This record gives sequence, C-alpha cells and structure tokens, in this order.
Amino acid sequence: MMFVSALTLFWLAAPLAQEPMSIAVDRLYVGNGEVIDNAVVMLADGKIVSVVPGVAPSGALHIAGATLTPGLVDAFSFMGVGAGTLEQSREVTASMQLANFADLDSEAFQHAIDSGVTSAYLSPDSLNVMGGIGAFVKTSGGQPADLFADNAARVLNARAGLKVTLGGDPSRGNYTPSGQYTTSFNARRPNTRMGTVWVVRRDFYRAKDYMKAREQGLPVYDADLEALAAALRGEIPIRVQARRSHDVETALRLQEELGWPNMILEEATESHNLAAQLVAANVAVVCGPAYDSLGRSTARGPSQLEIKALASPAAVCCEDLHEHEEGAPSFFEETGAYQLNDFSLDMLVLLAPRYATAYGFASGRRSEGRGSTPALPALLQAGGVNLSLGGAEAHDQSLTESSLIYQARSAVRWGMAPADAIASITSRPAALCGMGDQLGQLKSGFDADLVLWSGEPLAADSKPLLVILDGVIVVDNRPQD
Amino acid sequence: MLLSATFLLGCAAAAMPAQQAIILRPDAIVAADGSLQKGMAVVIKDGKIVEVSANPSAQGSQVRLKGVLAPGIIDAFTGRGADFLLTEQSDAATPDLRAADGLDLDHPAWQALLERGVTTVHITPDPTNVLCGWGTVVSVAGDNRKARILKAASRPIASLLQSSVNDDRIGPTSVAGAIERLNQTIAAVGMDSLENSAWFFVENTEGVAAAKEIISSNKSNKFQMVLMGDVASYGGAVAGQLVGIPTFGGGMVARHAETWKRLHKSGTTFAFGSRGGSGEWSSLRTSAMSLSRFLGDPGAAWAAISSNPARMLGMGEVLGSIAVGQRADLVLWSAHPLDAAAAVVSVMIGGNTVYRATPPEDKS
Repeated sequence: MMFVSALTLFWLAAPLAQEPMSIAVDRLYVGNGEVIDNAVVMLADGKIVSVVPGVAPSGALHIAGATLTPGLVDAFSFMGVGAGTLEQSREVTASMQLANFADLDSEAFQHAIDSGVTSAYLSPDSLNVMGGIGAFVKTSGGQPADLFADNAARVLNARAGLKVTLGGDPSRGNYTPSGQYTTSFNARRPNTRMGTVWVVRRDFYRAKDYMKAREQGLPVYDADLEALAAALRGEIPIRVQARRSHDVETALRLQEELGWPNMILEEATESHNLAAQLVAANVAVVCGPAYDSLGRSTARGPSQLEIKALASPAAVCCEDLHEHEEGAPSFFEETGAYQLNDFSLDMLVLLAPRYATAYGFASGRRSEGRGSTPALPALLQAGGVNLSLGGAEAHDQSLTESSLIYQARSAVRWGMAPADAIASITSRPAALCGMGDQLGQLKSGFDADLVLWSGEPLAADSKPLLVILDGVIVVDNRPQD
Repeated sequence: MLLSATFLLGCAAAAMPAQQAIILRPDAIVAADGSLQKGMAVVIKDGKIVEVSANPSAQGSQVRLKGVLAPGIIDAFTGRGADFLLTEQSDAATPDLRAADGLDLDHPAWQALLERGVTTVHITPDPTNVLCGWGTVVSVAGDNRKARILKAASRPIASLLQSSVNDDRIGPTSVAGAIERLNQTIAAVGMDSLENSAWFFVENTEGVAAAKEIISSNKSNKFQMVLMGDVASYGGAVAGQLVGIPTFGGGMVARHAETWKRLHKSGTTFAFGSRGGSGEWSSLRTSAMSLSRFLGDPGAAWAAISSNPARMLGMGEVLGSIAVGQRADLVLWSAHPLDAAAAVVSVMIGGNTVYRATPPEDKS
C-alpha cells in the first residue's frame, strides 16, 4: 500500500505526458468577472489549451448543471504553519523563509484541495513584529517528506511576501520588567502597539543604512536586513497585518514614510471606513475570514446601518457604522458567551497588567475585533478597494465550513456581487501574489487548475465534483453510476 | 435664547461654504490675559480666525452667541486617546518611539474631552525610559482623521525621573545611571534627537541639573522641563522658565501652593498636563482654578491650559488664544471658564462645530 501511494505521488509530481482532456460545462467563470455559458475547455500538459464557447464534443467530460471555475487561490493562509515555525527569541525574524520549514505535508493542504483551493499564499505567524518571508504554493504536486503522506504542497515562490504585524499580536504576552520574570525574552520584546511600530521603523531605517553600506562595498552582512532591503527594492511585497482602523492608518503612514513600494494589508478588520485612503495609496487588502472562530470575535452580524450602507453606500456616513444598533442584543448577549465589560477590563489592565496582557485582553482579542463585520468585503468593494479573500486558519482545522469558498459565499450574503466574490478568490489573489499571468483565470496558456462544481459555486448546496491541479485530477467526487 | 444661539453656531458652521466668513458675536471673549472682553466680534474663515475687533471689516453672516467664547483648552501632556498604556519597556532608551503609533482615534476618551472643552491634546509616551520617544499633537475631533494629527512628532521626551529608573532587567537603577544612559543614547543617535526642544521629565535637583548640563553641553538652550513629584524640594532650580506641571491631584499641602506662588513671582510660567495628575477628567480646568487662587492671577492660570501649552509645543502662533491667524478652535462657555459654575455650551474645531451640550433637535 505504501509503495502504491508513493508511486502515485511520483506520478502526480511529474505529470509529463498527459492525455489531453476536454471538459464541457453549462457555465464557466473565467475568474476575471467574465461568465461564459456552454463552454468547452481543452487541457494538455498541465496547461489550458483553449476555452471556447460551444457544446460538448464527443469524448468530452460533461456533467449536466455543473459549473467550472479556476482553482481557488487563497490569498492569506496559515497552512503548514505551526508551533515549529514560530521563532520567538527575537521579535524580528525577517530573514526566515517559511518555505524552508513549513510543514508542506500538512493535512491542511488536503483539506484545501478538497474544498477547491489549488494554490495559496502561506503567511508566517503574526506573533513577531516581522515574522519572515511567506511562500506561494500549489496545494498539491510536491514531494512529501513523510513517506506515509498522500499529498504535499509544492512551492512556486519561496519569497512571496515579507510579514509585518501591527496591532496587538506582537506585544501580546509581553510584559514590563519587574520582579522575578525579567529573565524571560517576553520582558525584552515590545509590549505596546507603539513599541511594535518602533521596531518596524528602527529596522527599516537600519536596512536603508545597510543598503548604502553594501553599495559602498563595505563588508557587512545581516540576513534580516537583506530581507528588508529586498522589500524596499520592491522584490518582495510587504504584507502588513493590521486589524484596527488606527493600525491601518499606521500602515499607510509607514508606507509613505519608509517608501514601501508594494504594500498589501492582511485582515484589515476595521478598514471599511478607510476605503478612500486605501484606494488613494493603491493598497490592496486581503480580508481575513469572517467566521473562523469565536475567539476572534468577528461573529457580529451587520447592524441596520451597515445593511443600509450596502444598499446605498453614499447615504450613510462611515462614522455611523460604528454605532451599535440601539437595543439590539450583542453577540455575547445572544450566545451567553462570557465577556468582561470595558470597565472591568480597564481595571484588570491597571491592577494586573502582566496578566491582562498575557491573556490578550490589553493588546489582543478585546481591542482587535471591535469594529468587525462580515460585510467588510462588500463595503471595501463598494469603496473601490482591490480586495481578495483569505482563509487564514480555515483549512488547518479541517473545517470546510470556513473554507475559502465559504468566505466568498459569506461575502455575497452580506452584499458583494457574485462575480466580484469569485474574482476575489481567483484572479485577484493570483495577481496579488505575482502569479496573475499564470493562475486564477480560465484562459489558454494558464495552468490547468480548475474546479468543477456540482452547481453554482456560491450556492450553499454546491460542492466540488472534480478538482484538477496542473492538469491532474486530484479530487474526484463524481457520482458513481 | 441660549439654545437658539448654539443652534445657529452649529448651522452656520455646517452650512456655509468654506470661503464665506462667519462673524461670531459672543457676549464676551476670553482675552490672552484671561480677562473678559465684551463687545468683540470674532471673524472666522476657512477654519481660521481672520479678525478680532469690535467692528469687523469683514463681510459675512453674523451669529449671535449667548455666552463666553474662549480658545479650546490644551492638555500639555497626556496618555488619553492612546491604546491603553504608552509604556514601552522593551528597552530603557527608545528614542524613535512615537506616541502617534499608539493612537486610537476611535477611543471614547475623545468625546469626553470635547465635553470638557478640550480641543487639543499632546500625547506623550510614558516618561519611564531615559529617552522615551516623540509626543504627538492631536486635535480632539474632526472628520478628516489624518488632519487630526496636527504634529506627528512634536517633542522628544526625555526622563530623569527617580521613580522610573528602577529597571532591574537592563537598568538603569538610579538617576546617575539614567543620566549616563541618556548621554550614551544621545551620542549614539545624535543630537538631532533633541534638536526640537526636548521635554525633560524631572522630579529632583539632580534631574534638573543633568538636563541643564546635557542641553548646555550641546550648545542649545531649547529645552523644557516637566516637573513631577514634590516640586517644593527643587523648584528653585527651574525658576524663571516655562514648565509643565501635572494637574493637581490629592495631597496638596500649603508648601505646594507656596511653591507655585514663588515660581510665578520669579517669572516661571506653567502649562498643565493631565498625565500624572489625579485622573479626573475636568482636572485641567479645576487645576487652573486652583492655580488662579494660589497666584491671585487668573490670567496666568488660564494661560496654563491655553496659550502656554501651545507655546511649549511650538504652536503658540496657531493654537491657544483668540487672535488673528489662530485655528478656529473655540469653546462657547456659559460663563468665564475659570468660573466654577461655567459649563460647555458648544465646541468648534477648525471652524466646524463638533459638539453641542444640547443637540439642536432636542430644544423644542
């Protein structure tokens, strides 16, 4: 059995001489907003050869009612990122390339393919100020390190983004020094938002000096500064995780001050009232998942005002969106989940700052998701922001209900146009990750990454019947008859 | 009458095109010396004060205001409106730290400040590191979030506080060690870090002496002191200078009142900041009332929460008084703001009404 699966894997990894395949579908989403009814797609040698309108030729694979989309591209995920990938002895580990130590055999990749995700950006963890360099992978086709693994991701770009984290995450768990705990590295790392930004600024200015020194031929070398220098030269996009409004504003300020040539915002939970600034600064946003876990407190539905804003964005002032609907039960009231109120949290922070920060109250959970709404993608789309969706931890937990397609469905439910939602999980993230001429669209010359859905991909009862990656069928759920 | 006047103030500011001048005619204005001047009109245009006179030459719509018009109160140093505590202790010297990076413009504190007639705050990193970083000057309200930050990096904040130098991890553990570390930091990052009139938080004679020495050895006299602790024990060392002081909390004894009196006599001027004070929201104004009593000089006390903090921040030309060229940051009070019975009626920032004690729709 072991040998069989190993043989299968070798075949998957090297799909050299494939039989050409043609698929006829009732409807096809190109991925760029275009929809073609009755189309035939020809695949050969791992590439799309042609996409033409027409009826099924003989020998073509055809399932009535099925819809074809490009393989989904997850713009922001933590697949393969675990405890072994987080180096916390210092707050800047910019040189660490996730591709070198991520678990590419992780089951998360299998969950991803099962739900139609064929490629993904893997992000370093957010607990460092600059956690390292993310990777862009195909979710299958790699050589597993584990002989028992059936699937492994294949790295397409090992230097796909430099992770910078603003907000509460990098200072969470750190504390001001006093008493017996001063020997811990937690006492040396930044313990405020302000300190986190200081570390970013400090190292980018160091990197600028370092670049000058290198130009002058001085014998200096620093791996972290090399990574920052590459980002400053525009070779690696700078991926900034910023959730609160003021974190997003800080990111925009840093971009301007430090001359970041290519900044992408991750999560951006409260960015809907800053759409104009994001458009002006030409910054793309990857929205994190709306419903990945209760702990992230992103489960509040939109208020009446937000729904009104969706119907007519100009009619509602953005500040109004923050006002909670009068008399409406909060998420915590509805669910009975335990929540400390503002006053007791303030007291906790004042009286026991170490414990408060250690449990994430002061810098993390409480302040990170305050203004979150599942309508965020629709609001950003209405504001003209270049927006992609990301699954974050969705696939790690084998929760297909929070997978990428679910994010797109949720975005549509809260007001996003279906074509935009499809684009935000296909062509847009592909372009964002520098793969726009190879992935994310059903066009001739593009990689043969496709998902054949049993119905409309955004319908709740639709599921992947076939997932094809580099021309190879990697998931086959076709009804057996 | 009072209500209709506030309503007018709101409407006039909101409805007029930017180019149109608005002539505000309050019962009285608070002049630079803290006195009430009756019969004066204040003309605002494009968010600024363009004329102050009894018979303004400017054309525009007239707005009659029932009450006393004063410049907005300025908090010389505070942590309110920032993301929890601005105490960054990953290092003892953090010269590049910026309070602007810890700002939370959605914080409930901003509304509370408006209700107390405060229009500008200077948010500083906590003075717990020897060179703590940069403060930021923020307007309390305004639609344009970016424009609310009046100065992203206002003043470098240095600290020679005995009570802060107790870091048992990386030091220092004494004022002497703090002075040494401060000098080392300045040597490393350059005097540029202090060129823009550094603020030294001090609380004893050693701190004051060291601050003076550091500054004079770098051939600059531009620096300001923020006095903490028991000023009576070292106040003589700062006589004659412009100083910041925390708002008065509890524990005030006769010796303190006497200290302020003597400093005032020596020509020292004061600017109140709410950090380190009692924490009570209205303490800026109540502290100024107390100072007024101690000094017998309401003008000096009023300046401590208006023009003096503006001067300390290098923004005396644009903030802190009702004069031509100043930003139209104005507060309409029911009486002189140092009168204990005075209440805020409405607040204008940059020519826009941003707060009304009684919303116009409720007045019927």
